[in-house]
Amino acid sequence: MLELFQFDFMVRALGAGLMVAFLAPVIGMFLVVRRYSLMADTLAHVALAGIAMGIILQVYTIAAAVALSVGAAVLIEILRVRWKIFGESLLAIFLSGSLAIAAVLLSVTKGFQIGLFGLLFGSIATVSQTDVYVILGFGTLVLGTIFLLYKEFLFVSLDQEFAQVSGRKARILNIVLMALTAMAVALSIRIVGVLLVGALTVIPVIAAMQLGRSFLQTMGLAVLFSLLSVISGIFLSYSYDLATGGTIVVVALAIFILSLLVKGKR
Amino acid sequence: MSSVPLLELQNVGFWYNGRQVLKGVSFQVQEGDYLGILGPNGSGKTTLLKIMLGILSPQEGSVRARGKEVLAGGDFSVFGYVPQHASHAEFRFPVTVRELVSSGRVPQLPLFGRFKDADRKMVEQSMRTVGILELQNRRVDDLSGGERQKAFIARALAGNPKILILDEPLTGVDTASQELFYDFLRDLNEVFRITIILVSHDVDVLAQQVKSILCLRHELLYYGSSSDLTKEELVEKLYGSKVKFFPHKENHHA
Repeated sequence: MLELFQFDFMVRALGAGLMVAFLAPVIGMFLVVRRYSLMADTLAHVALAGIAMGIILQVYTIAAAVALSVGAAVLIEILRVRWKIFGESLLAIFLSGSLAIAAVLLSVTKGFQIGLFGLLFGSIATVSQTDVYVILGFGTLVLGTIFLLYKEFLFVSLDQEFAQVSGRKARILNIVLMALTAMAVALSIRIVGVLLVGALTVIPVIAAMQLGRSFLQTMGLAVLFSLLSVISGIFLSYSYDLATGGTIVVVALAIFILSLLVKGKR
Repeated sequence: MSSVPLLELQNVGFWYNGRQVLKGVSFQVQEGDYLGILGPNGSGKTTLLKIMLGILSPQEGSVRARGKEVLAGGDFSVFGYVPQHASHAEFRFPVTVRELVSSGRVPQLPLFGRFKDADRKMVEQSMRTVGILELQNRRVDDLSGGERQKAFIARALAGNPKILILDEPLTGVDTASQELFYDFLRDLNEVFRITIILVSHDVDVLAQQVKSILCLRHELLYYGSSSDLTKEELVEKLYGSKVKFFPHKENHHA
């Protein structure tokens, strides 16, 4: 198995994959507890529109995906609070709306070789050295911010009503958290693909919630499950020529089923 | 007793979409009070609660906490708030009691600030006050409705508030636990001298528990000592009809 590391693309995929394996469940913890699990899926579809836009404008696609997703995340939060539109309705509008925009834009990009399958389901072969640097750089920014504002994010996620009453700048913290979510999602697309980002964000967290005894321990377990899924998923997808994102999520699903069985035996 | 009331509402009015839901509401809460706010569904209780907490600004009149105007978006450290969902079974978050109670300390910290010894002591003192210190490492979603309610009260107390405000705290709590819970609240008020405002629609039980009562149906129908009115008179004020109470083992609702 070690001979895989002689391939540069494999080293790049693992480098980016490990960061994604940390990012997705850490963000997922805050989304799941506030019942916002579909947020990651929605922002992934927005990121797809961003990638299409990047191709047309001939700018770096991950940067375009990050910019559009962060903008959409902030807009969703503002619409939810100011216009009092249900969160789930907003997610439905943004998910299907951005998919429609992505479809229109991608139809304009017919002349480009864009590897749509890789975008939708993830592909380790397409991860460039620049992608790795960008994913590691932005990923460190997201994880660092969460480390510094951990207790504030836990505070606003646990109980938004209480947070609002306590006078903390709950609204700003919510917007910052959603912007970080958007970044994490856009960065993860290269590895797990648009359609499966949500799964990697949520499934390891739900599995960890069956076993964790505290929020911090649950987060640690979720990261562990995610790392197991990503590392084994990348190796299996290379060995058997499978779609990377799909393989990673299938492993995560297996871990989730195991977690249910372990909880059932307690 | 302090001469400046902890909380003072003067002639508060509020409209939703042109319909007046609160009209000329005035009352004061002094240190050590135990006030019950009673009203049927749709009587303006929730709006009044939001105005007291500073989530909504009154369109008429004023709200002052310790002599200072309460402004929407301002500093709400006067209040420890226990929301209605605190005892609900759908609370399925993987947090321990200690993590939950500690989160009540976060508003006291500067942004990016870390918990200090004084914060940890306050968290422990809050858990000890409500009697859940031994449950501190248990997950909140593993607790009974009553224990969970206490954990949320401890979270509110961790912020060292002047007034504890509970919104319909007994939703989802069984009848036997309700009686214990009211005993516990009375202890908080009498032994620990915590000022309490309890919002409820439960005339039957509340009338026996609190020191003073405020009956609301868009405007104040009664505000005074709870011992000056019988339950029948309270219900008549709130619902406008004469009723008789029959003892019932399973249900305390009027």
